[in-house]
Amino acid sequence: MIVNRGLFALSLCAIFVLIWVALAANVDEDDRLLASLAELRTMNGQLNEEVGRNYIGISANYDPLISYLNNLQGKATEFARQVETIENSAGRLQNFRAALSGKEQRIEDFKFHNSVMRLTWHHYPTLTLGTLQNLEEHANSGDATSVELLLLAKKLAMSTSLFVNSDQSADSVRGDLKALNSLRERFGSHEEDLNLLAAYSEKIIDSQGVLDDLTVEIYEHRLEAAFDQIERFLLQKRQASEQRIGLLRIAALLGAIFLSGVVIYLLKGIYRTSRKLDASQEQADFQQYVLNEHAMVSIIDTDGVIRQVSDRFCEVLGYQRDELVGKPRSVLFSAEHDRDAYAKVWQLINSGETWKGEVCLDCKNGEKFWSITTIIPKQNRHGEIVEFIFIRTDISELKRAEAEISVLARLPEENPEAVLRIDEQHRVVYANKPATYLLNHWDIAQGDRVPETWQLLFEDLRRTGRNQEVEVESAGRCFLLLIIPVAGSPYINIYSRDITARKKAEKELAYMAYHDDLTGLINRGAFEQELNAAVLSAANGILVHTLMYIDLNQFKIVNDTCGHVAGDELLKQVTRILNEAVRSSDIVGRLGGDEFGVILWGCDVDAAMKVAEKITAIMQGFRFTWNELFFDVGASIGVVRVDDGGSGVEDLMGKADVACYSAKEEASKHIHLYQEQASEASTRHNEMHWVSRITRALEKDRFCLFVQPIVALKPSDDRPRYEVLVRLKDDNGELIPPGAFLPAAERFKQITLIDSCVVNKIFQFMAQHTDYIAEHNPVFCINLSGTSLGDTEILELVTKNCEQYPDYMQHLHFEVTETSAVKDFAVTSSFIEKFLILGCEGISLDDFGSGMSSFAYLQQLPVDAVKIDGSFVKDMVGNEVNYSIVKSVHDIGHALGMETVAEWVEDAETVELLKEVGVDYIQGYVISAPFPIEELLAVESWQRFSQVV
Amino acid sequence: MIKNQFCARAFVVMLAICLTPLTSGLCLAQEADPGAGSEGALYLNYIKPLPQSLPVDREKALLGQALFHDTGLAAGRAACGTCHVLEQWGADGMAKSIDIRGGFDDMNTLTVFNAVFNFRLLWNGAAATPKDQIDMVMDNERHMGAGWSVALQYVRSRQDYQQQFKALYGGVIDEHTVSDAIVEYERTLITPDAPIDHYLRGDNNAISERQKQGLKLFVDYGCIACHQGINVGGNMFARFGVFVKPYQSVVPANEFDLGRFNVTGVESDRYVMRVPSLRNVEKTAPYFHNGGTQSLKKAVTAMGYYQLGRDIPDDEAELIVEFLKSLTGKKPEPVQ
Repeated sequence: MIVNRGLFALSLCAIFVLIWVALAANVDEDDRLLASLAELRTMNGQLNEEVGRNYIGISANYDPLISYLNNLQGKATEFARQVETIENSAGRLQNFRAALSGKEQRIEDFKFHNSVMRLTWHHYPTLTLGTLQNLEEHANSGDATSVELLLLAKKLAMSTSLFVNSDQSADSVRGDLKALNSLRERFGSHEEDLNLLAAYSEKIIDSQGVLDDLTVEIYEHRLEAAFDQIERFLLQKRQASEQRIGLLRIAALLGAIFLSGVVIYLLKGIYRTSRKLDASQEQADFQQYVLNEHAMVSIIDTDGVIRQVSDRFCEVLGYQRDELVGKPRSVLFSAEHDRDAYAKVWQLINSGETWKGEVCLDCKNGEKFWSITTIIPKQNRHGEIVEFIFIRTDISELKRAEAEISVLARLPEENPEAVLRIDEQHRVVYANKPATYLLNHWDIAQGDRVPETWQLLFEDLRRTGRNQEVEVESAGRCFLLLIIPVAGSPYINIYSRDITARKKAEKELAYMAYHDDLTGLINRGAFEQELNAAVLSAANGILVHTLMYIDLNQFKIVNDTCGHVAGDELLKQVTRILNEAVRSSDIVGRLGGDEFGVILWGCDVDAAMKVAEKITAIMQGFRFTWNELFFDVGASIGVVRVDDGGSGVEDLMGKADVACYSAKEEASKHIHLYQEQASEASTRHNEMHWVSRITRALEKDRFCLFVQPIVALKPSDDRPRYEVLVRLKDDNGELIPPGAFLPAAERFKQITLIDSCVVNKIFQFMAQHTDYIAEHNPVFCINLSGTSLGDTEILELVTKNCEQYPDYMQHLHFEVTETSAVKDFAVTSSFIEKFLILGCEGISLDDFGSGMSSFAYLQQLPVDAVKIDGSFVKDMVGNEVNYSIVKSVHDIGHALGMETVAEWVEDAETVELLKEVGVDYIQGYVISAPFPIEELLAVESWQRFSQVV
Repeated sequence: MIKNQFCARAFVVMLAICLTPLTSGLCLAQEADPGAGSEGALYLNYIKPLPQSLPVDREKALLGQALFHDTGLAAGRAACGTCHVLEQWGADGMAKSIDIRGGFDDMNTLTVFNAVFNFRLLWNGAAATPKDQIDMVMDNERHMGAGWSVALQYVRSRQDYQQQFKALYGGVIDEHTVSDAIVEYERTLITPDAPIDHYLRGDNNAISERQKQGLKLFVDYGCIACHQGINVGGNMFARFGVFVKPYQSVVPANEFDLGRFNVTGVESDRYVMRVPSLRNVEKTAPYFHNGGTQSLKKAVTAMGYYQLGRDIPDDEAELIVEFLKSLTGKKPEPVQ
């Protein structure tokens, strides 16, 4: 009795313990670690953001960066300590810690290189500006080396800036650096600040490279991967814990049920032994209590009538007790089992055997309730069965899980993308429906082996355990295969993704990077790559190609007068012309603005010249129309041979540019072939040389003025008129004609300085010789270049002189070339108006007839006279064409109310002819060669010149 | 590769731009607005003013103060305060301190003032926190000599210390509690109220015209690239000799010039030093890890030459020195 009671108490305790175990076990710890991990990720993100802010200079202070890093490390260390206690975590933690310290190291390096960028790049603009200004001063003071250094320094500054601001490669900066340094070495150059510029550029490309790599590494750093690894690990562990807990709960419940059985048994014993005792009722109550509280127990008598049900039983099935008690057992029958099965079991238990099996019950609300049911026939002491005890264990969860698993198993089947599994023998053991494309691609069926090349790949991946991405094109679509060897098994899984759209986008991007939007031609960068390919292919001396550099002659006028839309349209039309004019295998590119490049592949120079002539011919015939305006556009072409001569891309482009420049100046053909030995390079070099000579001459006052008389053919105006000409006296005292230095001056923007010098000198002359001026009342015609016209410097100079000598302006007449007047019509006409207001004698248009201007244009210019281009006048005797040009220019001039002047008149015959035409003035050797202005004082009378006529 | 760079740059820039409004808003909220018309506000992006004080457990700091000056910790031969002389602005004015064996130390002693704001300590950054630094000094036979065991034995033997540790640390006297008290004391060793701090907070007259010019030069030359943050330095590592390598030409390098390399052994860490704080720099000559110069102006021009590749002219160096003087704050009072 006492033993039984003890056992009973023990069993009850055990039941409570088991239930407590079942309830207490949980996965809180894992969840806490996962939350910490998420927090770590956020902190890492914040740290990365701070790095980004420092990278682009929004933040200039590393304190916040350090505190983010410290916080992350602190948290991570604590986290690692917690994870450490978990089994099998060592390897993952090792990765985690290594990634953490790697990150710290990179951030240290980042800070340093970022600072170097700050102290170089942020100060680079001011530094560059200072250096360039110094160089420019040197260059202006006539130092030829400085001019070249200036160009190279500018180039370096530009390429460095491009390197930092866009994706230009560091190589071009290095190239420029090398060029600059070699030039400096060659000339033993002096500039301290150039050292600095070079050093800063070098430091910038070095540091920026490192900084970029570091930043990318910090962002894509292993830390995230380590986070992922640990997260996977924790999730696995959590899953395992959940499973274990599930099992534990079931075991605990089973144990509890078993012990309940024991309890019942004991109760029975107690009941039996204490029947005579008054305590029997108490025991029965207790039995009832245990039954109700903890087990799904029902009792059915031998007639099949339900006698007792526990509370839990009612609760689970959703019935009230009195809905069941006293009812036949068939009320609990479910359609899941057929009647025979029930009958069989009934038969079995009636024979006194215990039965156990899975049974489904219908709940009142129609749900199925699955349980493991144990039926124990209860016998009285005579061995007669008195009733049956049903003890049930809930297995609904299990059933539901089974159903879920079967749904999950269909997951790959339902995947819209291809999923395959390959086994050890390279057979496709599984392929879902979308994978059909891949099977077709391989030309195999499910169960066959994959093609041999793929077998090799799989073999390799299986050996290394590496994942691999492979792109496959099939039936016009592009797929990315992610091939993953399954760890711990011989299988290889393949997941495919349709990346057709992405591929297409990538192709478009690549196209955009290498093409010009407007014309669809390749851009300069791509063109240079093509040229490089051409250079390489010509290196063996067998192939020869030709490079053409094409520049439109009148593009600027179209752009200025009709706007950019017209300019764009013109470029498109020219592109069409070019594409039609060359073979489809030739390469046409837009090099910028109105410049085009063509590589004639495999074409020698003779053939290329024909192509060039063809193009210029087409362009000459091409007339661009816009809003009823017509423009003859025309093109100039520089031609360069691409052979094994060792010229690089840059070199060739430079030569082509020079040739094109020369072509522009060749009035007739507009084509120029670059000749290696000829004067091209030296012209350019000469011009450079002239820049310094001109600067020196200006400093040392080497320019002097000459005059040439202009005589009226009709006795209308008897004021003496002289055109003022400029000459340069060289170191030996020899005179240099303007044809030698004016082009260089024009090109390098020194012409304004020369014009200013002339204006100053003429004022000086008048101030020094007031008697002569008063006596003869002469008119001096001064040439103004197109560049000077746009420059307020000249205007200011003249105004200043006017203030000082208000009477002298009436002695001045200005000559403006027709081409420069047309180039910027608005500027020219405002300029002319100002000169007229200042009181100058008049304005004439120089070299009239050489340009191709619209006469309507000229009508609006307030000019008094036109000068007929001397080249027509010179051979008008005996040259019908020139004669009629002179005549028509004269007629037009007169029609527009202007007087006409003929220059370069060299013989009496021409004079007669000009009289016939009716020209107003003449100028030339027939009257007098130019002579120094000082000799004017010695000329006793103007009659000496005018009597020639 | 090139594309990569480009993408990274674009990516980082995009990210930072997206985040700026959010975070800059936060920053503004933290920093008191110096008000309109403040010239110093321009520089707040680089330098932050020191707080007037840090929250300190006064009792612990008092205990730490006693320990800091107690030579008993090194068997009667030295205390922390021997080299970190408070009257001499937390350092000792020597190129290299004299160690307890009577020789010279390896590197110049850095000031203890404001050390709590540095991200690492010592020239080579070997100590991550002030506590690490105390550990390193205690275990170095040339510095505090005897090591922790002797120091702790001494502290445990003193009745007054016993009582204080009992009240503050539950009677535990070990290397953690001792250094904790000293670190608490170091939190009082900060030098607020420097003219620059007032200037940054909006008082336009806190520094002179020449100092303003110096500050502008300091920024324009790029000194600020490394000497920034609350301590005007002390928050990064940098290679000595960005443009000119000082140890390969003129001066033969000794092993201490290797700096951080001696700690990490990483090749790229050769000649890398922790950038020192410039607060109170006027008062903490000599300069550099080897105490190479007594003249602040020379230190400025040397930095210009080696780190910036520039020859800073005399007059400009003088202006920068003027500015550096505005970084001198108020010496800390003893804990009462």
